Amino acid sequence: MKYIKRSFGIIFLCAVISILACVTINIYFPAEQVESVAGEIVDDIRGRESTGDQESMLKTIHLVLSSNIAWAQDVTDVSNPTIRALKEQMKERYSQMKSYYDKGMLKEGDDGYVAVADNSSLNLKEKRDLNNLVNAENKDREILYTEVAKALKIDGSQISKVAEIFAKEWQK
Amino acid sequence: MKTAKKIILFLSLGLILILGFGVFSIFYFYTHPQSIKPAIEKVLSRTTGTLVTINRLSWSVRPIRITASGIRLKSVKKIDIYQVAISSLAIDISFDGPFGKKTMIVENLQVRDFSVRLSEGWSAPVILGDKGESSLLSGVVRRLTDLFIFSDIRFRELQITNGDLVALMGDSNVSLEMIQCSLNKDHLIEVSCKARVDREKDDISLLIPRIHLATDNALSILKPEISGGLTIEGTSFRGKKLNIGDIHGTAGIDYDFNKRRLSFELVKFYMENVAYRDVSEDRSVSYDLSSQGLEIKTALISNHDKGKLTFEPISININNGMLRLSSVAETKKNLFGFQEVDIRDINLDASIIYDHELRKLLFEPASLRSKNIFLKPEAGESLYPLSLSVSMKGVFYLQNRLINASEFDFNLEHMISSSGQLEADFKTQPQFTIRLYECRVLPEKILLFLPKEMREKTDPLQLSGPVNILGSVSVGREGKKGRVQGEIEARFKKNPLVFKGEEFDLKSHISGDISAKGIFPDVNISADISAEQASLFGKGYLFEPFGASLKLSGRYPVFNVKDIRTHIPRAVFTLGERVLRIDNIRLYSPEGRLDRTGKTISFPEIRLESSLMKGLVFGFELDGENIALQLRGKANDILKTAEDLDILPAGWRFSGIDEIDAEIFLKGKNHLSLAARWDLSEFKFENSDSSRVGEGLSINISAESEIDLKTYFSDIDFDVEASKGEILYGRFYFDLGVNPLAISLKGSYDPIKKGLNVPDFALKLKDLLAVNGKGTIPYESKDSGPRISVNIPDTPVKPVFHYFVYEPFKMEHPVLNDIDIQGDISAEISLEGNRGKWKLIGDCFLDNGEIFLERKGIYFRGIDLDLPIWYQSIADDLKQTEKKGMISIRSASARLFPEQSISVSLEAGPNSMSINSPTQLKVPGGEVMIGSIKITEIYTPYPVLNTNISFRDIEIQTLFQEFLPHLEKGLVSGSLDSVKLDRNRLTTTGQIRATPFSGEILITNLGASGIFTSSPLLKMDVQLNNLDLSEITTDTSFGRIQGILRGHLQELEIAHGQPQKFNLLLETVQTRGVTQRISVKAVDNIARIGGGQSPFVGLAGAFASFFKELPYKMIGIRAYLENDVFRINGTIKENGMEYIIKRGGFSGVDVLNQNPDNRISFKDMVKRIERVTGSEP
Repeated sequence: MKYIKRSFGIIFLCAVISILACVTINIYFPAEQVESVAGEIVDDIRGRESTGDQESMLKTIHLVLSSNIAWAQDVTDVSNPTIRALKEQMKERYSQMKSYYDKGMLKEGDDGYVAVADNSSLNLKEKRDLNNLVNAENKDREILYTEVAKALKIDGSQISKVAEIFAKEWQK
Repeated sequence: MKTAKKIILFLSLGLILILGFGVFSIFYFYTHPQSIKPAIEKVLSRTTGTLVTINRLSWSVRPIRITASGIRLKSVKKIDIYQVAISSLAIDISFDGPFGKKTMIVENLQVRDFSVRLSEGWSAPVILGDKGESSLLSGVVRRLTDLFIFSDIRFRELQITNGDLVALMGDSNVSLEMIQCSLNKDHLIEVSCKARVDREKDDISLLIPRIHLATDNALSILKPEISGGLTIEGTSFRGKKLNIGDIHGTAGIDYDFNKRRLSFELVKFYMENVAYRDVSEDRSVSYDLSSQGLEIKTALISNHDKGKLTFEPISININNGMLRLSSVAETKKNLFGFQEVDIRDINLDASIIYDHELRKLLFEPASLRSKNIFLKPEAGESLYPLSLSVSMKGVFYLQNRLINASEFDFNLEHMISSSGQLEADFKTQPQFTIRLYECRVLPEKILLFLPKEMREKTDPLQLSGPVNILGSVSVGREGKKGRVQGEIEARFKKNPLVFKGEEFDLKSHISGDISAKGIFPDVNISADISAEQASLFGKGYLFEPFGASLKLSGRYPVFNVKDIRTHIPRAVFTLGERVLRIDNIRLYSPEGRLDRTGKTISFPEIRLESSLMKGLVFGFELDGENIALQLRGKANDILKTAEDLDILPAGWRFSGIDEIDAEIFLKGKNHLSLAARWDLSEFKFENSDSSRVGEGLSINISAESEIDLKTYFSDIDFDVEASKGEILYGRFYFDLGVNPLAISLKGSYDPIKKGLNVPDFALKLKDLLAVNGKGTIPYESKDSGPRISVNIPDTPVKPVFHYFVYEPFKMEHPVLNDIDIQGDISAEISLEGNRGKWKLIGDCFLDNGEIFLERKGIYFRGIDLDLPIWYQSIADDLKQTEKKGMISIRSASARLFPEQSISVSLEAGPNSMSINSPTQLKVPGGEVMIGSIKITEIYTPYPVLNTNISFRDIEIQTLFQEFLPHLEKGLVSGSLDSVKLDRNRLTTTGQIRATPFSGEILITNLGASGIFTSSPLLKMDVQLNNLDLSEITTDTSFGRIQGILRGHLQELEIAHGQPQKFNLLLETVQTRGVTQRISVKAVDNIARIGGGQSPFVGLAGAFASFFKELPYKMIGIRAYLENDVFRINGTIKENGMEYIIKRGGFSGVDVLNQNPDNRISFKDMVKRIERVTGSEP
C-alpha cells in the first residue's frame, strides 16, 4: 500500500513539473510548431519525403493536451507566395549546391545558415561562384525565417531562434 | 882573485864614491846656498815639465825651514797656457824614526796668495820619472834615500790661504776663489773655496759659494791615499732652460795616488727650486721641469789609468718635482694627442760605469720610476696617476751616440708590461730599434688614457684581457720623413669585448693573431680574428651567443678580407607585443677588399641565410665617394619574413617564390639612384575568410628612382605586371592569364612643395578596363591633401558589365541573366581631400548604349549617359555649384510603356543626385508624370529617393487591354504626392483613382518592401465604390450578376505576382434603377467558391434548371487571405444563419455559409476559382 502511495506521489510530482515546464516554454516561443514548419519546408526544398508525420501527430496530440498554449487554435500550414517563391528558388539552388554538400565543401551552421567548409579543391572562379551561391542562399534563408516568424506571429527579435531550429533540419 | 871578490870590490868602491859625492854635494850646497835655488828650479822644472822660477828662496837646517816667495810655474810650450803663481811659501821639516825608516815630517807648510791661470788646451803638469819601470840607478837612489834620508813624508800642519784658479775650458770660464787649505791637528786636510763657471755662449752660469773638502786621514807617501768628505753649499745654476736655485751636497772622496783612482762615495746632492723649461719655437712640445728638491745619491769611481768613470749606483729622487710636457703646436701628435703630460716623483736608480777610453757608459742596470704620471687630455682635466717603471741594462757609446740596451723592461701602470732589447742611434738622426721578447698590453686600461676626442669615440668600446706582442720595431727618420719598420705579432685569446652603443650592447670574447711586417706604411699585415660567445642585444632585439671570424691580409693601403663568417643560432626581435625568433642566421662573405688610398671597399658577395630569409646575396662597393649596393636572391622567403614581421595584414596568408634584384648607387654625397626588381612566381595570398584570394600569380614589380640628396628631389618610376594567375576579390574574379594586369606610376617628390607629384599613373586590365591618372600627394600638409584625377578612356561596357556586375551578382539577382548591355563607358573623376575629408567629383559616361531585358520586354536603345558623381565624406557648408549631367534614351520601351524617347537632366550634389525637371512617361492610354526626383545618401547601401507621381486621365481600356480586355471605359488619374524609397521600402501618400465599370476604384497606401531583394512585396489598400456588376460579369464564364458593388481590399500584399494577404469585403448595394439579379451559374460559382460544392445538386439542381437568372437581395462576401489560408464568410446574418447571397423576396436562392470557420488553403481556392472561371486546364 505504501509502495502504491509513493508511486502515485512521484507520478503526480512529475506531472506538475511537466505541466509547469510546458507553460514556461510555450508562452514565449512556439518551438514545436517552428520545428514542424522547418521540417516541412526543408524537406520540400531538399526533395525529401516527410518523415515527421508520426512525430507531428504526437506533437499535435501534445499540443491539444496542453491547454495553456495560447496559439494552438491557429494551427495552420505556414506558407505564402513569398515562402513558396523562396522555396522554389532554394530548390533550384539546392540542385546546384548538392554536389558541394556531397563533397563536404559546404556545412550547415548552428545558426541556420550555410557556410563554405572546404573549398580548397576548387579553383578561384568556382570558389567565387560557390561563395555567391552561399550568399544568395543565406539571403533567401534570412527572408524565409522572417516570413516564417511573421506567419507564426513570432516577434522579430526571435528570428534567430527560428533560424536555429531550421538549422537542425538543414543539418539532417 | 876570484871574480866575485872583484865585483864586490868594485861595488864597494862605487858606493863609497856615491856617498862621497852625496856628502860633497851636501857640503857644497850648505856652503853655497845661492846655488840651491837654481838647482831646485831646475829639478822642479824637469820634474813637472814646466818652467819653474822662484824669486827668493831661503832655508835653515836647524830647524829645517824653507821659505820661498814669488814662485811661478809656466807652460814650457805655450807660455800662456797655464800659469801658477805663489806669493809665498814656507815649510818647516823634521825627521823622525830610526835609521833606515826615517819619516820626513812637514811640521808646517804655509802657502799664501797663489793663483792659477789655465788657458784653452791646458793639461795638468805631469811628474816625470814615473813612466815605465824604474831604472836600477833610480831604484838604488830611492833605496838609499829611504835608507839614509826618509822613507815616508807626513804633514803635521798645512795652511794654504787666499788662492784662486781661473781656467778657460772650451767655451766655459771656470774660476775658483778663496781657496783655503789647511791641515788640522788631527793631520786632516780641509780645503774650501768658492767656484764659478760661466758659459757666455749658452748664457749659463754656475755659482758655488762654498766648496769644502775635509780629509779623514793623514797624507802619507807610504800610503798615498786621500779620503775625506766633500761638501758644496748654496750653489745656484742659471741657464736658458735650466735654473736651479740651490744645490748642496756631500760626498765621500777617496783618491788613491798609486791606483790613480778617485772615488766618491755616499754622494748626496740636493737641488732646490729646480726649473727646466724648453719652449723652443721649432718644437711642438715644451718641457717644463720644476722641483722643490732634487736629490741625487750615488757613488762615483774615476779610474784615471783605465779611463773609466763608474757610478754605482746613482739614485735621483725628485721631491715634489714635476716634469711637464706640454703640447705647444696645434697638432698634438708629439704628445700622443695629450695637452699635457706631468711626470712627478721621478726616481732614477742607475749603476753607471763610464769608460773614458772607449767613451762609453755602461748602465747595468738603470731604472727610472715614477708613481705619478698625469696625462691631461685638456687643460685642467686630469686622469688618475699612472706609475711608470723603466729599467735598462746596456751601453751608451758616447762617441757614436749609440745606445745598445741588451735588456730593458718597461712597465706602465699594468697597462704595458714589456721586456726586450733596445737600440737607439742618435748619431745623425735619431733611430730606435726595439725588440720585444715579451710585451703584454691591456687595451682596456690604455683606452682610458686616450685623449678626450678619441676616448669619446672609443668610450663605448671595452676590450679586456691581455694582448701579447712580439717582434721588433725600428723608428727613425729618413731625411725629413719618419721611418717605421718592424715585424711584430700580436696575439690575444678570448679577450672579453664589450661595445655599448646608444641602443645596443655587444659582448663577445675575441681571439686574434695579427702580424705586421714591413716599412710603414708599406706594411704587410695578416690577421686571423674570431669572436666567440658573442651576444648582441638592444631595444627590441637579442642575438643569442654567436660566433664570427674573418681573415685579413695585405699591405697598407690594400687589404684583402677572406672568409668572413657569422653564425647566429637565434635572434629574437620584439615587435610590440609580438616576439619574432629567427634561427640559424648565417652571414658569409668569401672575399672582400679594402683600399685605403683608392678609398675603395669591395665585398662583392655577402650571403645571408636564416630560418626566415634565405639565399640573399649582397654586394657592397665603395669607390671614393661612390657607394654601390647590390641585393639579389631567389626563393628568399621574403613573404614569410614579412608575415613574421607583421608587415602584412593580420590574418592573411602569403606564399610564393620570390626573386629580387636590386641596386642602390650613391654617387657622391648628392645623388642616389635605385633600381629594384622583385619577381614573384607561384604567388598565393588569402585573407582570413578567403574572400580575398590570389593563386598561381606571376608578378613582376620594378622600381627605379633618382634622388638628389641635396634637395631630396626625386624621380620615381614604378611598374607592376601580373600576367599569370587568378585573383578573387570578394565577388570579383580576374583571370590574369586572360586579362593581364599592368600598373605603372611615374612621379617625382618635390621637397619644396613637400609632395609627391604623379604626372602619369596607369592601371590596365587588358581587354577589360584601363584607368589613367595623375595627381599630387602632399606630405604631412595640414592645409591640403592629395589631388588625384582619374580618367577611364572609352571602354566597351559589355565585358566590364560581365566582370563587375553580372558574374559577381548573378546568383542573388537572376534578373542579370536577362540583361544584355552594349556601348562604351568612360569616366573622368577627380579626388581631393585631407584628413578624412574626401571629395570625389566626376562624370561617368555611357555612349551609344543599349540595354535589353528581352524576356521582360524591356529595351533601351541609343543611351547617352553623362552621370555626374559627387561623393563627399563629410558635409561642408560651402555653396557649390551642382554637377550637371544628363541621360538621353533614343528609344525606351517596356510593358505598360510604349516606345518613347527620354531625355533627362541630372544634377549631382554632395552625396546626392536629382532630376529637377519633371519627366513625362508615356503609358498606354495616357501619360505618367514623374516629378522632380531627389536621391540622397546615394553612396550608402540604402539611398533615399523622394519624388511624386501623377497620372493624368489615362484611358483604362488602353492601359489594361493586355490584362483586362473586356474593360471598356474609364480613366486612371490621381497623384502620389510623396513617393519615398528608403531601405528597400517604398511608401507613398495620395491616391490613384480609376473609374472602370461605371464605378470607382481608389488605391491608397501604395507601397512596397524588399524591392531590391529576391522577394519584393507590393502593398496597397483598395476601395471599391459603385462598380456595375453587370459590366464586370457580362460575357464572363463566371456568370452574370446585375447590381452595384461596393467594398474594399485592404492590406493587400502581392508577392511574386500573387496575393499574399488581403482583407476583402464585397457587398452589393441596392440602388434605385438597378436590377439585382444573378445568374444561376454565378450563384453556383459563388457557392462553389464559398463552400466548395454546388448548391444545385439533386432537387435544387432540377429546380434551378428552369431559371437563368434569379433575383437576390444582397450578396455579401468577406474573405481573408493570410498565410496561404483563405477564409471566406458571408456578411449577411439573419436568424443565426450566415448568408453569402440572400434571395430577394420569395424567388431566388439563398447561399448559406454553414461553416463559419470556413478555411481553405490558398492552393485549393485557386483551384476553385480556376474551376469556376473555366481557366482550369
